[in-house]
Amino acid sequence: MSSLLDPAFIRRLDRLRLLSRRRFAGSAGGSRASLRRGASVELADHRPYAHGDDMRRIDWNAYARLEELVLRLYVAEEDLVVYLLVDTSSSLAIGEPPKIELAKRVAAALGYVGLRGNERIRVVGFGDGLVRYEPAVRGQRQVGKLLRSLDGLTADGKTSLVQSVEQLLARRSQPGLVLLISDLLDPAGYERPIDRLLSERFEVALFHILDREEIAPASGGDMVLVDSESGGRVEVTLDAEAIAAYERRLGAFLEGVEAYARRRGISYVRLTAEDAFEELLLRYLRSA
Amino acid sequence: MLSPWSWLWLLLLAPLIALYILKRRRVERRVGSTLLWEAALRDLRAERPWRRLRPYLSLLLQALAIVLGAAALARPAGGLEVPSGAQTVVIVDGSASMLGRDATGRAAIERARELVAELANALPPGAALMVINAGDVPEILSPMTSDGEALQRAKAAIAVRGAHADLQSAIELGSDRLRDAPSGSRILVLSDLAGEGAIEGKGLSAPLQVRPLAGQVGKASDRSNTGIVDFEVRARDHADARDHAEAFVRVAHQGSAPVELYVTIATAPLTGDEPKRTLASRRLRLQPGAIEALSLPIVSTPNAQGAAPFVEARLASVDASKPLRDALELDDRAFSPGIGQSRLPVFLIGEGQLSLERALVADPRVDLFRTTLARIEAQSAEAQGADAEAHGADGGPLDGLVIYAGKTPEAPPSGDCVVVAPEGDRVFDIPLLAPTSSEIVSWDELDASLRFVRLNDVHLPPMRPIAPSAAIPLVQTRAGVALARAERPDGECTLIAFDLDRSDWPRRASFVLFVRNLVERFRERRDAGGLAPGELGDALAIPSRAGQSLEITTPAGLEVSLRAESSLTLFPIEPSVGLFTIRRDEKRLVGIRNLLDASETDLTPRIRFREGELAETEAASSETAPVEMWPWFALALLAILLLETFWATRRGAA
Repeated sequence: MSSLLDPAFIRRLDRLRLLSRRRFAGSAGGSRASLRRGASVELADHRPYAHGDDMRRIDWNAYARLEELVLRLYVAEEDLVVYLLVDTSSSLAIGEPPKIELAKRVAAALGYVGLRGNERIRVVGFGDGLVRYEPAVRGQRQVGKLLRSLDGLTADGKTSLVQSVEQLLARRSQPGLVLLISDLLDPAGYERPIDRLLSERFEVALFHILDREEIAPASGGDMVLVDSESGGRVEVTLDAEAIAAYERRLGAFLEGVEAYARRRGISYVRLTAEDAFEELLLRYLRSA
Repeated sequence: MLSPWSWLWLLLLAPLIALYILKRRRVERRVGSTLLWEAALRDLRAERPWRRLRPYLSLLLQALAIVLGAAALARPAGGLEVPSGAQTVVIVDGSASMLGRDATGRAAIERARELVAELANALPPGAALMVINAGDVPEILSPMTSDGEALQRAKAAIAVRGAHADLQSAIELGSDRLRDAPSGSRILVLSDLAGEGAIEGKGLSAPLQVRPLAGQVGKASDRSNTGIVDFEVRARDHADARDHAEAFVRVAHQGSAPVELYVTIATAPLTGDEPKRTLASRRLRLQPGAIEALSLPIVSTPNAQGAAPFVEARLASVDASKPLRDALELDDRAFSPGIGQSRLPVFLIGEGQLSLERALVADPRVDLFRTTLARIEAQSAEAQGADAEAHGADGGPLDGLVIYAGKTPEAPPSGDCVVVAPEGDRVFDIPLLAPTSSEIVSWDELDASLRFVRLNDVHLPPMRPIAPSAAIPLVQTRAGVALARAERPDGECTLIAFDLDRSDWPRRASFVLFVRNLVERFRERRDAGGLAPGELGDALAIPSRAGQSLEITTPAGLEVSLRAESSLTLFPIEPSVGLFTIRRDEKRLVGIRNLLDASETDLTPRIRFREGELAETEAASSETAPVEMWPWFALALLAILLLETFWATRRGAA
C-alpha cells in the first residue's frame, strides 16, 4: 500500500462512497442510477408496446385496465466516471510539506472510495494543460494502480485551468464527477473553466489546497517574493501592514471561491496540511 | 545661497547610491503565486502613496543626511553671503550722514555694523573679510581675516569719522588688497549714498557691489532732515557799539513735507557757571528742498575778562514741549566764535621799529605794550612762565600778539608772532641768507595779510633774506624772500627780513593796510579759540610742549586728562558738534566742531556709480536679514541619522 493512505483511514473510507448529485450515462453497468433505461428494479416510465419488444416487460396490469399493451421501462444502473483532476503546477510544490503531497493524498482517498463504489476512476494531472491523463480504472483491485498513478505526479510548470479543461473536453471525455484538487492560483481565474465543465454536464467538487504560509504569512522584513510559476518578483516589506493587506485580499479571494461554489452548487472543501484533512474529507463523503 | 564648493560634498551621493545598489540584497521567498501579494501591495499604495518609497527610505534618509551635511559645511546664510574661499573687502561709509536715522529710529551706521557682524558670522570656511572705515582717509579696521573675534572688534570700531568720507579712496585701497585674491572676491560698499559725485567702478581688481542702507539710489529718502548748513557771526560796522554783531545762518530742509521751526541764537558758555543767554530767535517755514538764509542782529557782549562769548545756533521745534524730530541731529546745532573782544594786546619786544609802533598805536582796538626780551626772560625765570604778570584774558604770559624787533628767543612763543629785522643766522630754526640788497619782484596778493597791499614802488634796505624752503614766501626779491610766514601747530610767525624804519614802505598806505591785516588775522585766530578750526570729527591739534598737562572737555561733558609728548598733541574726538575745551596749564583753548555741509544734510541717496563691474544689491528695505543657518542643518542631519538608525534597526528590517 502507498504512503498516500494509511490503514486506519482506509478502514474509515470503506464505509463511504462518492457523492454525485446528478445522474450520468455510464459506459458499463454499475450500482449508480443512469440516465439510460436499463434493468434495474426502479421503474422509470411506460411506453406503448412495439413489435420486437421484450414480451416479459409488458405490464399486464395496465393492459387489464387500459386494454392496451404498454411496456414497463426501468432505470438502468451504471457506473460513475470520476475524474481526479489534480493540479500539478509549480505552485503545488510550495509548502512544508509541499501542497502536492496533500493533493495526492486527497486524490488517493477519493479515488479509493470511488473504486470501492465500483466507479471508474481516471487520474488527470494538469498544469498549463493536461500533463497526465491516466486510463480509467475500476474495481477495488485497481487501487494499487491508482495509487501508483498518483505517486507519479510531480509539481512543475504553470497553471492554466482553462487550457486543461479544454483539453479534457477535447478528449471527448464522458461526463462525470470531476474532483478538482487545486490551489486555484491561476492568473486566468478558475470560474470560466469550471463553468465550462458544468455546461458540459460534468459535476464538479472543489478541493482547495492551501499552505499555512499562504494563509498566515510570517513577517520577514524586506523580501522579494518569487512567483513559483511565472518567476515574477515582488518586493515587499513584510510588516504588519503588508501582511494585513495580504490577508484582506486572501480573505476576499476565499470568500469569492466559496460564494462561487455555493452559486454553482459545487461542493467546496478547503484543506491545508495542518488541518485534519481526513476529517474534512470524511465529512464531505458522508454528506453523500 | 551655498558656496559652489560646498556642492562637491554632494559627490558622496554617487558612492552611496552605488553601494546601495550593490549591497542591497533582499531575502527571496518562493511563494505559490504573487497574485494576491501584488493586489495587496496595490491596496497599500492606494491607501498610503508614500509606501512606494518605503523600500528606498533608507537610501533617501542617507542621501538627505549627505545633502544636509554638505549644506551645513557650507555655512549657509540668507541675505548677504560670502562665497567659500573668496575674500571680501567691506567698506563702511564713515560720513556724518550715516548717523541719520530712518523711520524706525535706526541709524545707517548701526545697520552697517549689523551687516558686518552678519557677514562675519556667515563667513564660510576659507573665506576672509576685511573691514575698512571710509573717512577722509580710509582706515583699515581689520586686515583680511576669518578670525571672528577680530571681525567683531572691527565691527565695534565702525564709526562715523567726520563730515565726509572718501569712498573712492577706500574702494581703491580695497581693490589694491584684492589684487591677488581668488575669484569670487569682491568689494562691498555699505553706505547711505548721501553725498555728491560719483564712484568709479572701472579698473578695480574685484567686482564692486554697493548695499544702499537708506533706500534706493535716486529715490527720495524717507529720512526727512533739516539742518544748519552755514553759520557765522560777523561784527557790525558800528563805531560806538563794537559788540553789536550779526548772526548769519543758512538752514536747509530736505523731505517730503514743509517744516516749520525756530532758529535760535544763544551764547554757548564754556563752563557751567556762565549763564546761557538767548540772543535772537526767528520762526521759519521751509519747503522741501529749500535753503533759507537768515541774518539775525545780536549783541555779543564780552565776558568779564574781555573775551567774546561763543555763540550757538540751534533749530528748535515750534512746539516748545517737543524736541525737533528729524533724521540727523548733528546739523541741528552749530557754533561760532563771537565777535572779537574790545581790545587786543600787542607786545612789541625790542628796540626800534617806530613806524610799526605808530601804525599799531593808530588802531583804536589795540593795546600796545612795549618791552624787551631780557625783561621778559627775567620775569619768566621768576614766575616759571606764568605769574601774576599775566596779560591775557585767561592768564599766562603775553596773551596777545607778540612782535619781536631784532633779537628773538631761541624757541618761538606759543601763539602767533611777528619778527622784524631779525638778528643772527636763524630765526626759530629758519635760516637766514647772507646780507644783500635787492628789489621786490613779486608778492602774494591772495594772502590774507597782503590783501589790498601794493608793493611795486617800495624800496627795501639791505637785509638777510629768508631761506625760501623754510617758510611760505609772501614777498620775493631778486636776492631772496623778504617777507614770509612760518606755520607751526601752535601758531604762525610772520617774518619781515628788513628793517621797516629804513625802508620807504611805512610812508605808504599799503603799510598801514598790511599791519591792520596782521592784527585782524591774529584777532580772528584768537577769537576762534586758539586752535586751528576743523570739521566734524577732525582730531584736535593742540599746541603743547613735552610733559605739559592737558585737560580736555568734550561737548558731552566728558573730561580727559593727558600729558603731551611733543610740541603738537593730536587728540582724536568723536564726531560731535560743539565746543571742545582744552586747559593747558593756566591757558584755555577752545576747538569748534560743526557739521556745516549741505551735502550731508541732504540724506537722499545721490552718489552714483559709474561703469565698471558694478552690481547694486537690493535695497536694504527689501533685503533678507542674513541668518546663520548651519546649526539648523546640522541639527536636521542628526535627526535624520537618528531616524535612519531607527528605521534600519526596526523589527522586521532586512
